[in-house]
Amino acid sequence: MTDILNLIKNRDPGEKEFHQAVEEVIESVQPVLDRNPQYRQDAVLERITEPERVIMFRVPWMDDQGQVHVNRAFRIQMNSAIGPYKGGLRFHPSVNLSILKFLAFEQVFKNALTTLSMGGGKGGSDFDPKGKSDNEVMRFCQSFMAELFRHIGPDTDVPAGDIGVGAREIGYLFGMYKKLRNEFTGVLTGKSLGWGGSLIRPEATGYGSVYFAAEMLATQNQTLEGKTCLVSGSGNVSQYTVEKIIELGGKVITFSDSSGYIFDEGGIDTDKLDFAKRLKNIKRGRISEYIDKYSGAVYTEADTSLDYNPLWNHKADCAFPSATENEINETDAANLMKNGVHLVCEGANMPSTPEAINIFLDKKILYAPGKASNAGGVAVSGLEMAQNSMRLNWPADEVDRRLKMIMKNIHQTCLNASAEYGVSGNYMAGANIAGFTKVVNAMLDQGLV
Amino acid sequence: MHQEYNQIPGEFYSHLKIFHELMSIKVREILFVSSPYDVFIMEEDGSPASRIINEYSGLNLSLPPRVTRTSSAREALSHLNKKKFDMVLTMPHVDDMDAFSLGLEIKRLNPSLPVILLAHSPKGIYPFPENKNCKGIDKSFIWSGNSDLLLALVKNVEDRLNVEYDTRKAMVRVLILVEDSPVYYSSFLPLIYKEVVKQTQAVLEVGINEEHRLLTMRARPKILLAENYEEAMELCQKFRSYLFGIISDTRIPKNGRLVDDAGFVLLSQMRKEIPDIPLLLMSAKSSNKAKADQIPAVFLDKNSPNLLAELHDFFLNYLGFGDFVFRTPDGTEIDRASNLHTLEAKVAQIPDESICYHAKRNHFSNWIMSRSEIPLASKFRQVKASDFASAHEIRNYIIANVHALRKWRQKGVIAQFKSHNFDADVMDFVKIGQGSLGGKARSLAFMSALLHQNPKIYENYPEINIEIPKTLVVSTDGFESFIAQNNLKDFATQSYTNEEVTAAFLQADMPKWLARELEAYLTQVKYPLSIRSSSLLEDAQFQPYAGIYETYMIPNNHSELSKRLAHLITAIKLVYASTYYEDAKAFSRSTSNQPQEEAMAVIIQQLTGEEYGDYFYPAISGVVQSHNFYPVSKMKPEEGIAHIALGLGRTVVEGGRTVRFSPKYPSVMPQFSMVDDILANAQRFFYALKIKNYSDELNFLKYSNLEKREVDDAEAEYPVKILASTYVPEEHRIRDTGYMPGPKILTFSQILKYNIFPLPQLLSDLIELGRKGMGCPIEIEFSVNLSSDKKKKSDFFFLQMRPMVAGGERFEVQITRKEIEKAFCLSKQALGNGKNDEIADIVYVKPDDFQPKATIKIAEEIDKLNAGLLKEKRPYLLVGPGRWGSADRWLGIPVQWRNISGVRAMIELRNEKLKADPSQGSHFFQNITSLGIHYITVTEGSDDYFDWEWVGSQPAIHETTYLRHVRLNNPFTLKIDGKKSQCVMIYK
Repeated sequence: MTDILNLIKNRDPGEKEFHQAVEEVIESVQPVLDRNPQYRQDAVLERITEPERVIMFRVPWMDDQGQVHVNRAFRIQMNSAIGPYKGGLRFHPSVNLSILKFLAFEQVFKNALTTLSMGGGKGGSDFDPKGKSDNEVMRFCQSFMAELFRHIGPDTDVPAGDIGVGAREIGYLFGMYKKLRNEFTGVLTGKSLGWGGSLIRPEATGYGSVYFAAEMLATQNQTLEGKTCLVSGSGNVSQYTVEKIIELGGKVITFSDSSGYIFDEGGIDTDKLDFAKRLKNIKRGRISEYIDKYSGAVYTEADTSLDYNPLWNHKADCAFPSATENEINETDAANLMKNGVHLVCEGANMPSTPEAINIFLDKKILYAPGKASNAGGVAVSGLEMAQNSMRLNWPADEVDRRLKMIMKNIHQTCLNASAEYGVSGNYMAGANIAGFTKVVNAMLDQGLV
Repeated sequence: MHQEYNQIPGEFYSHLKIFHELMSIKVREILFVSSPYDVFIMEEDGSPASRIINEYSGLNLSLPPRVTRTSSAREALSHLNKKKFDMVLTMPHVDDMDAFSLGLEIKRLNPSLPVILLAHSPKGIYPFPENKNCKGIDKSFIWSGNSDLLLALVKNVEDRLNVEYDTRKAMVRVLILVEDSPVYYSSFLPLIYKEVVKQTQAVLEVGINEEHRLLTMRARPKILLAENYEEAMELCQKFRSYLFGIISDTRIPKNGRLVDDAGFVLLSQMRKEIPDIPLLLMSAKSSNKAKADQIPAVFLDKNSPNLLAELHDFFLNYLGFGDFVFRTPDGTEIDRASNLHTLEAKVAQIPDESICYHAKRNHFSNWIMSRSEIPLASKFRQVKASDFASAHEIRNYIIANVHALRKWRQKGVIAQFKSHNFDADVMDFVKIGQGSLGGKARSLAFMSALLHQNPKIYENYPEINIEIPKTLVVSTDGFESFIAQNNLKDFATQSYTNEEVTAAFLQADMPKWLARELEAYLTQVKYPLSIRSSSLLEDAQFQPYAGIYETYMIPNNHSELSKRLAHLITAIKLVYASTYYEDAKAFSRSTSNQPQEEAMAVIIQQLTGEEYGDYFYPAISGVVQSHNFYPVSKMKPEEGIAHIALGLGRTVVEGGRTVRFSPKYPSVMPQFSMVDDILANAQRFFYALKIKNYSDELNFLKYSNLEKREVDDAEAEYPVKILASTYVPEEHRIRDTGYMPGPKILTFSQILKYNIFPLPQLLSDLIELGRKGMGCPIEIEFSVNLSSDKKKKSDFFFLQMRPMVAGGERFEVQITRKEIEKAFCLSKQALGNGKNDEIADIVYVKPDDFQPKATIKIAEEIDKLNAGLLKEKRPYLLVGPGRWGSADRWLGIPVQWRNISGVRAMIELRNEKLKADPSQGSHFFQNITSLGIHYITVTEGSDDYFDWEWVGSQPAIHETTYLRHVRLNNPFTLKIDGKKSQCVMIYK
């Protein structure tokens, strides 16, 4: 392992983000490597850490004042062992080769875990859409696509949005691709609903997370029915998590934002959820306003001097951290255990600190790491590709039904992998191993290409 | 009809401007050549110079000429060689030369210099002696001891010199006097001049100020003198379009000899050519009246004992200087109008036949012309009665145009409020009392004048009404009388809480005289009002817009006048009370003024906005500043920066969520770049005045009667529909229209991106105008009403203009070379402006311990230190590498705003370890700009520096793994020169 890391560091000394990602992945799949000497023999680590193709290109564009600017852009086609490259495009001044390789590398395993046929890739440019007019953004996107179009396609590489690339940018990029290729195909995901986008995108991560939790409970012959749940955050993920929990008969008692959290002992019902959605999505108010409307709830302001988050200190059965990174630390994890929580399902990216995760694993509670339980978003991207290939637009319930099936598959895959490697019920290890082995096995099957 | 008026060439709109250009050639220096004897005779009634001065001031004319007297021709010629004269006045006989020879000599020196011969009798000069070359004399006059003549001949020279330009430029009218005898014209001309001047002054509209009056006089009719038929005919043809009237003698020279009826022939010819022109035929023979009737023309007997009175009549009745007399076609008088105001009212009432009768004869045009309202008179003259389908149309046309003119007349003018002649509809700016207007009101008046002098603004934006809201100022004597009458002076010097001051002021009585005036005002004014202070000290201190004194709004639409008056009086009392609030007193002291010296004028202003359901508010309120201290992306500091919000301006003043944009690049909105940014930064609340279903007592003490409404609740109202975009959650995108289902997000895209209302360009033009006008960087408060009716114009209201301030500091910050030498920190890339000497705490990331991978940990450490400093209320300087607040942990320390909320100044270090461009445009950065945090970039290895050794030698009061917190004994001084983006920090 040290050899491969040294090799990478020597070959690309400046790519510190990429080095860190490789280190983490290799660490997490160490048991797999130990058990499969073939992997070492066939140099899978060397192969998997080297992108299949890196395209670096110039993007010249003209601003509204007629001034010419030149940005640098990339597409990292990391791995296509199980399907066309798939991964977002990021427009942000921080974009460089190292960051994109790091993101593309992680994307390979994330996509593999969804059980859909998607390889991994990532791309973008150091262009900053902030402070640019619509027309400037359009000109940039068109120039960007004027090069990228020859490297992508619905069966080759299907980029999506990421930081700095939203529905507007996807529209401009798609338009230019269509013009240059003279074909209307599902070459990008994240499209608007009127021309090839998929329903259930905003709901996907929250719904998916709850489906995953329900699957975990099912292993213990339980359901969400009657379970008291703590949910952090109040954005998209949290709202649809709450919506699905209510639908499945659970009771949610918390919501939060950066200023504090509300505790509603009676439970957040559909009406209250609608109010919260309106408050956060439309009025963009503070969650504290929830108690102006529902006086039975209690609001607690965030106190940065505390070394724990009181939201995690209520009696409950399940917790769905859906707000932000590192929102559950060691103390919070201990508080959760103390209050009877036996399921933690991550809707956010890496909401639990390593110390907190160790506590969950020690106590052997049902713990779903974000890379598995919040894969709903990626899954719906895959479903958008499927719909585009079929030239069909599924209704919402069809997308939802398939999302549920995918989450069920992910859950099963993680569970099987963990059992196979003797850490039964450890979804963390299961997710790491499952994603990795799926890709590596496909590569081996396809020979040295 | 209003639009019709706008079709007059734009330059006419600026009366002041055009008048300044008229009468550009003035006689300022006269050389008077006369023998001592002549002078002796003339000086019986005082010297010619003093007589001219007396005449000028008697007629209220400006700038009398200076007279230089000499008694010899030689001396005169030598004067002319040395100095510039505008006119030479010579008596027939000087010792060394006769006047005719002197004239020729003068013309040799300067052919265009007018030489006027002034004689005691016609003998020897009329007719000109045949044996002399008389070409050196332009005109000769007979001195009969009447000093009016001196004025007349000066004015006549001026008229001749200016007539071509002034008629061309401003269509100034021309009155021609045809008379060959110097004896007669020497007595007629002064009569006519005096009459023209007096009459013009008499009919100038009331309410205009002295300067305005003098300028308007320049547009009085020109009087040209012709001495024979040919000369008269030439003048008539040359100035035919501008002819105002002709006065002619009957017997005048034609073809070189006196012809008995040449005057009659001339007038008959002109009558044929211009049927409605006023004509006056004079004759020493009364039998010639029949000839006059034949023309027809008015007849004047030169020998009549009532010559003056008859001439006066001609002016009043035929040249339009008197009342407008409405008549039926048979001549029966039915009504009269003495000024434009009554004309407008009467035209609405008189019968159709009378309207047609006068319209066909150009009576309206003549009458208006005599009031120097040239553009309108010309406009009326250019249209014919036959152009209109009905008398009704003519009537409407006249009313609309006269009304527009009256309104225009009042712009830029502060009239004294008089209950009997107050006309709320046309008087835009009135004041009660004789005291000072206070700073704000003065700046409003200045602004009004500035707009008036720059008519281009109106021409460039024909689709917008650019206005200053109608304003009444209660001058400072109202305040003084209120304080004195109620014995409230103690509140200025003693310590009272704001609540105590308020209670005492509310209980006090408004002086009766003032209450009476206010009541008279409210009988005509029934729109919502804002009542705010205009303090004597305000503008002197460059007070920032988040004002110290309060502003109150009242709906002013209650069915009972007494209630409306009570609301207004309460609001005024509250504004008065705010003079003695603690903040205001502290502010006075801080500027070394004594609170008791403060006197307050009150501005009662039409609240701008429109009615939407129960509420009243403008579509847009905003502030634009001519200098941008936080120029990001492609913005440049001098291009300015605007903040706009929906509803009343309180949102902007309170620093609520507004849209910030550069008028130069309106489509570039850094805080609105991505969907999440837009959702986080868009305005959610706005202020509106409730104008229906409010309580009789109103609610003065909460938001000054305003209500805070949610944008969401107003989504059906026009301003939200037109200014908002719609969020599409399924696609996580924002579509730039308010006319589709879904949550409304205020982006102002229709204005900033699609230009449905050219606000950015207008703001650019106005800040340029304001900056030039004030001679310094300025800020302007404004509001906009957007018309939903395409045929109606939208309104732009100019609410306030003042010199720009930043963070309470004056704009100019000077950084000296010495300060640079002593500084522990120097930067050439600093945002913000001003001086700060309140920071004694410095928190810095230890340069040797810093690692890019530790940035999250560092953010956590900062959060803890910030919490402590916030509790202690100690502002601090934060120093660290890379981009503060970056979402990307590798580019800088990923603090959120709440982690550093107590910071007052920040330094981002750019060095080998972290090189990132400053993050400008994020929500984080919005806080920095709106709170005026000093944000300084220090690029190490360039001219910039931060003295690590010095800061390292200061004892730490707190040290963590990555941070060091030092506290200095005294605050250090931070200075940022916003113009140069330069910053120094000095510790003494």
